[in-house]
Amino acid sequence: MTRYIAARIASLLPILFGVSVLVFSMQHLVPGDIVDIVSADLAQGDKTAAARLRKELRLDRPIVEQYVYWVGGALTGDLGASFVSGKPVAAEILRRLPVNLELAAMAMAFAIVVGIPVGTLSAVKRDGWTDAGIRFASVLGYSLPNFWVATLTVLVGSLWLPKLPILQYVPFAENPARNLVLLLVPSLVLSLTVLPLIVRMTRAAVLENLALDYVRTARAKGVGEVGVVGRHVLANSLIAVLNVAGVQIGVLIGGLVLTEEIFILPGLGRLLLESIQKRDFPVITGVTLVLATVFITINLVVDLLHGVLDPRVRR
Amino acid sequence: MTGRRVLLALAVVLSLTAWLAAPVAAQKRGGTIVVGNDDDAVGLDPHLSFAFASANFYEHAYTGLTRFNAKMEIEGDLATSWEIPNPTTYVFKLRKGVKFHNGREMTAEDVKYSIDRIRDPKTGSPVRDTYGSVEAVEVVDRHTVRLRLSKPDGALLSLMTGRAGYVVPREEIEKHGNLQKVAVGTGPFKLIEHVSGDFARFVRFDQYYEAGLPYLDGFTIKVIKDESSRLAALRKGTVDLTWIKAVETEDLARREKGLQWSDTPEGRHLYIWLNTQVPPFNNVKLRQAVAASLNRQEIIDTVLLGRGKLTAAIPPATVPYVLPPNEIATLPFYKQDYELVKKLLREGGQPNGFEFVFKTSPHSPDYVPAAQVIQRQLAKAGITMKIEQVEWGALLKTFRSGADCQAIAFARVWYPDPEGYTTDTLHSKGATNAAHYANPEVDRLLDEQSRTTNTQRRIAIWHDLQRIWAQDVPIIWPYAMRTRYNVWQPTLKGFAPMANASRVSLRHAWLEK
Repeated sequence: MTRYIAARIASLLPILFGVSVLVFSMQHLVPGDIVDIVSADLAQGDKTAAARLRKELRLDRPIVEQYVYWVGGALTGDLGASFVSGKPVAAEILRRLPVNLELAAMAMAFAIVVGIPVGTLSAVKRDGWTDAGIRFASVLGYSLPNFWVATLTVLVGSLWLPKLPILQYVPFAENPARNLVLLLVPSLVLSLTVLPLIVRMTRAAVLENLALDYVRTARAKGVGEVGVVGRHVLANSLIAVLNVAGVQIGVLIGGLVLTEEIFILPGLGRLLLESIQKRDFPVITGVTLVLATVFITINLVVDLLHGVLDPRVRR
Repeated sequence: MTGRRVLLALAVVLSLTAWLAAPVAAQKRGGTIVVGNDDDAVGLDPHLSFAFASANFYEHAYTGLTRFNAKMEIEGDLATSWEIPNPTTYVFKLRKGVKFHNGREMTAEDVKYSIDRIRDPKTGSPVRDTYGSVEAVEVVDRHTVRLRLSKPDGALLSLMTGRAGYVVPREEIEKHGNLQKVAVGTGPFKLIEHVSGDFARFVRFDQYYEAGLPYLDGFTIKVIKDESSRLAALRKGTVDLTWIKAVETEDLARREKGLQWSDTPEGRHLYIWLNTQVPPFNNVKLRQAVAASLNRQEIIDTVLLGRGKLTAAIPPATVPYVLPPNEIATLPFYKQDYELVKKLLREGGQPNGFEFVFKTSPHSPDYVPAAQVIQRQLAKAGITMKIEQVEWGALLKTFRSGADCQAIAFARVWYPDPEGYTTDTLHSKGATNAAHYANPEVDRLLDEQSRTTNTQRRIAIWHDLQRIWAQDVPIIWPYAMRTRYNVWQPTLKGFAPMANASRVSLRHAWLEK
């Protein structure tokens, strides 16, 4: 087991290396750099000043040299400094990561708390009206773009629900209760990306288990329907749900850039969007690497949990 | 006049003065507000930063020798008065007792240091050209500074009004290397915290030199890129003041009860650079044909919902150099005239029309709609315009590199003086001459106005230049619009938006709650 974990962790390095090469080269394929972008509205086209700035940021160097310089720093834990703020990239990321972790945890908790019972209900009432309704709602929920739901929430909230706690942010350390209240609506909107998946996954897994022999055995023993589903089927179905939830939590942490932007939350997504628009190369690379690491780590944790929950995997 | 009547007159005058001096409304001290800004600063050093948005931040922490008032006229700020004893000498008398945010008194030495810092090529300041004519900055005494010029410079005073004139403390630059991450000036507000991409917090500077100002205890500038989120935050009251770029969003805000707004002169105008060196636009007749195909009022009505103005090379906000509105309407090729277009096409050797590529970006909400209306108007004249939409950074790259392209379009904003802006765009040696336009007569006039200190003469030259450009069509300016649409809560009083998208009037704004 220990060797397995060690091997999995060691495999992180080549993946991260690959990601960094990819991100580094891809961002240089896009035309323009930060000097082009920020000097757009500048009246005087002072080329010497622009050249000077490029030199300071090493943007005048060949891309391979820029990469080697960056890797040199990254290997010692230095992800470089943001072109925009001049502050260390690692600090910029650490400042925002908690917002994403909090949002993802709240959204996932909501999705699980609601999704598993609803999915189970859908399976038990298979092919009835309840099932049809749940299936329709989950396809609809999954099909709506999250940024659209977010925009609509903000619009409705600002026009007709003056008390709805949105469009503000207070750090957890400053006021934990207020922080949770302000993140509630955004995390509910975010959870809509995961909730339908969990519902459908739970439904499929429960249905599959209901057809298995041990269910018949349990029923034959005289276990009631609630006991069969609640004790036996659900426990066995959770493994499949865990797999989905594991991958989705990675998506929640990193992927919902526009939703963060619309709710004005200071998370990694907004940082990434801003850095792409401004061609802030060190930040783009740093954020992508951190997100890749989070993804890989979560996958690893899910795999290990899988082993804990399902003794067959351990053999 | 008898003594009594003199006394009476004096009393009347005194009471009038007292009435005028009394606040129009009772300003209140205290309170903080939240300002929603569409972009974050890239570097806070007023002498070094390249980004337009940086000014939205550092403008509160610094002041300069002169400043613009709400009508965009120059008035004294750190300088109480100035003299121009001869065209190559400027003498500024400084305000006494002005403190930097670090507590030290600002003197003539600081003014000299600040101007010399910009002039030093090692500093790499993008506003270095402002002082291109300055030969030396001399400290006459503790409160007097003299600029010696190598040649007369008509634009110096207006170009100095703004960040090139901001006075910075030497010790802070020596301590931090530059002022990109800190803001220590003489302005009404001190920057106490700046989280990149999120917010910046300013507090009242208690030792600010204008007595009693500012009224506010401070404010936070919150970065909110999404326009509908900015408006939503304003509606909900989590933001007190913001600005809007899209006319449609502005229209929504105007129809909403309980929000304040104000109209400022149009300072932003759309540029369409026509490359005068490659076909088809190396032929002046074909450039004129494009201009004469346009119905500018229709573009304004469709794209800007009527909230725009006809413009020549200089936008309405750049008083006093703008052409009179009634003359703009009669400039050559400013009226849609398809008969004339036919004639021009024949003379240009393309009687059946021609095709060209028009590059722009969806970066601002008006670019693509404007391109589409223009495309339709040109199609009726037999001219096929292909719109190529590229990402903003890619468009700027093409623009800056001077790469071959037939037409490129985006908007530019107000600048204190046409020199250094319009000059740079249309002088054959200009850095932003994307039309690759070279007209010796224009070069001569541009050089002449830059040496002229007589404002009337400069106005006459700038008027002539605008007539020449309308005839030559190196660039088409389809419309001018407001740089930003400011919208704010009715509880915020005394705020006056300016044509250059500056919020410095927050220094005399207050909260009425």
